Amino acid sequence: MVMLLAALVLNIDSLLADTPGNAGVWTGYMENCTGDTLECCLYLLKNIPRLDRLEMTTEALDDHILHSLPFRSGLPDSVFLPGLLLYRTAEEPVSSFRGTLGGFWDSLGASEPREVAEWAEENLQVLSRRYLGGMQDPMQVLESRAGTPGEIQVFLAASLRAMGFPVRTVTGWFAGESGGEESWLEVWENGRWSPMREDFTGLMLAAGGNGGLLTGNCTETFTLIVEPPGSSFGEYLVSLNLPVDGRYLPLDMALCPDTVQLGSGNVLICLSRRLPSGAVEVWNSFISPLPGDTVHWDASDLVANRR
Amino acid sequence: MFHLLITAAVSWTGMQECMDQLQAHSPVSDISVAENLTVLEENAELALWTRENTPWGPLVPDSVFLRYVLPARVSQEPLVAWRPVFMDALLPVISGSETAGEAVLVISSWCDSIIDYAPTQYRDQSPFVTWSSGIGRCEEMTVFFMCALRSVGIPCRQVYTPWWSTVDGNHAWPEVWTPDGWAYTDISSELQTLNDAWFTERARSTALVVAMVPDSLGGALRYYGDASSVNVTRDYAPSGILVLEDPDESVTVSIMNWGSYRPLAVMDSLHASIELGDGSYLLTWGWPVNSQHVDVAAGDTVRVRLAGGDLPGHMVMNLREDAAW
Repeated sequence: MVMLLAALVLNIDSLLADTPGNAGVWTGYMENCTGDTLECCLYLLKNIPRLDRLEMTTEALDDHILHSLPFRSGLPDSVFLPGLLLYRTAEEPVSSFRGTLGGFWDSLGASEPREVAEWAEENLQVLSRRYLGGMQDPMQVLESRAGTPGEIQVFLAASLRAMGFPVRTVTGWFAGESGGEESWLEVWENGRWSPMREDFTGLMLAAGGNGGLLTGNCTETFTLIVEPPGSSFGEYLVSLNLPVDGRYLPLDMALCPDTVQLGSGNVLICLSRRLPSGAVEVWNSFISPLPGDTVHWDASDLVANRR
Repeated sequence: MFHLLITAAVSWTGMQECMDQLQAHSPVSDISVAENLTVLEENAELALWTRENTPWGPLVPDSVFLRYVLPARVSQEPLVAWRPVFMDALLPVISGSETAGEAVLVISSWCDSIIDYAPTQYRDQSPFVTWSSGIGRCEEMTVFFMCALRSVGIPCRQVYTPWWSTVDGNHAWPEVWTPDGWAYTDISSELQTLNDAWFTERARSTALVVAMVPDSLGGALRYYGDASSVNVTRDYAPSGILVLEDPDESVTVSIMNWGSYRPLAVMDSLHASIELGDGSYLLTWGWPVNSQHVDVAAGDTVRVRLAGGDLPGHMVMNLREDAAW
């Protein structure tokens, strides 16, 4: 027990040391809270990206912790902490939004995810993604009544969290002529994660906000087992790529996989190695398994058959 | 605060033109949120001041000033009021510099004393976070460096290679405008001259280098609605021209990096030719996906008629005669 506590303190100390210029916000907050509030603060400190630690304010900590705790009752920690207390949806900046957004939806009498989605559909102008500027935060979307599809998704997730619904972002990679990378929200309702999306045609890989693969939750899958060329991948890279209109879309979530569950369809597997000259030697091969199949793909076979 | 003393002396001539330029090339959140508009106005006042009160300011043409000194943003970093803070810090530092070129090297060294390279996160951090934390990845270091340069009126733009040809990864860096043209630089305390950086040799074999211009430009590789990407590969590497014959299709030009085919550019009827570094490229188009492997040699114009076909089972990209494999 003593060792566990010591490890926890060391971990916090190292995180604070790696928060130059803003560690005081965290230490000041932790010195002034106890119980659930302290637990939530520690969870955030340990689970948000470094830039978020640097940008965090006392106001934002208060907003996220104090407006989440009233909804904790009845939720498992595995849902409350990453789904409701955590505020991040995509690449938006750290902001305070729960108090204001909660009041906004109260004023409209909205209490269901469907009502939030319908309001956004009717009232937010959809903008094209441009080069300059990062994502708007949820309050900026509300104020400007406009956002890119990604920013509107951030606004929806923030609104649902402000109303007490745990949310997670799932990113999917779809094959086919209209394929590509898309993301959607899942809402925790009635004891399960429910996707706010219905059509998963062409889905090959889905990953949750915590990096976990969720493909099997959305579509039928096959199992790909990749055998490296020799005892390890060493100098070789194995990448999975999806044919989409006009190009091959890399699945960087699954670089050099041992085993991965994929939706059924055509997959380009590239085995490559960079030569001392800087050139790249590449082997391309396609597989097209059916649902339920298990495919053993052995890179040694390709390397042995060079030229 | 030095900048508080100088803002009172700003000539208001050109202020409206500056605000028009910023409004036309800023994200919606910058111009629809009152707090951000205040940042843009102060940014314009201070930019105008440097034009009249630095040795190089009067040499900068209007079009260069509006595109490369005035902007309040470099790329996707959060909008913050960086200009007054950087001005306060940098004006004393460059007080002994008589030319913009001298000042660039002094500022490069100043940046090097403050920040180190470190991988961070996908989202760009603001120049203030880079300053306080002392680290940033290459794009964040470029944002920081460019804020420092622009704060004392030195025109600059962001340049990057989407993917290196001979190693996995990519890089971003700034170019500064001089009366003799654009010159590249990077953060270092050891630079003696412009057009010298750690990546000089690596860039000589790169596939594509683009400069970002916060404006609409004819002939750009791509226009994003608020900024254009301009092909400047020939300034860095021996290059050739790839021309599509009968470009009815939208064709993606890719190279192999980090184990996959990474897109560099899309060619179509409006962009039927592209200048690329000496090397091998994969062209893909249509559905089902067709592919074609092409080599572009320095000084050559390669005309390609799309023939279609499957990916070869085995190939070596960028194989040189001196390859050691």
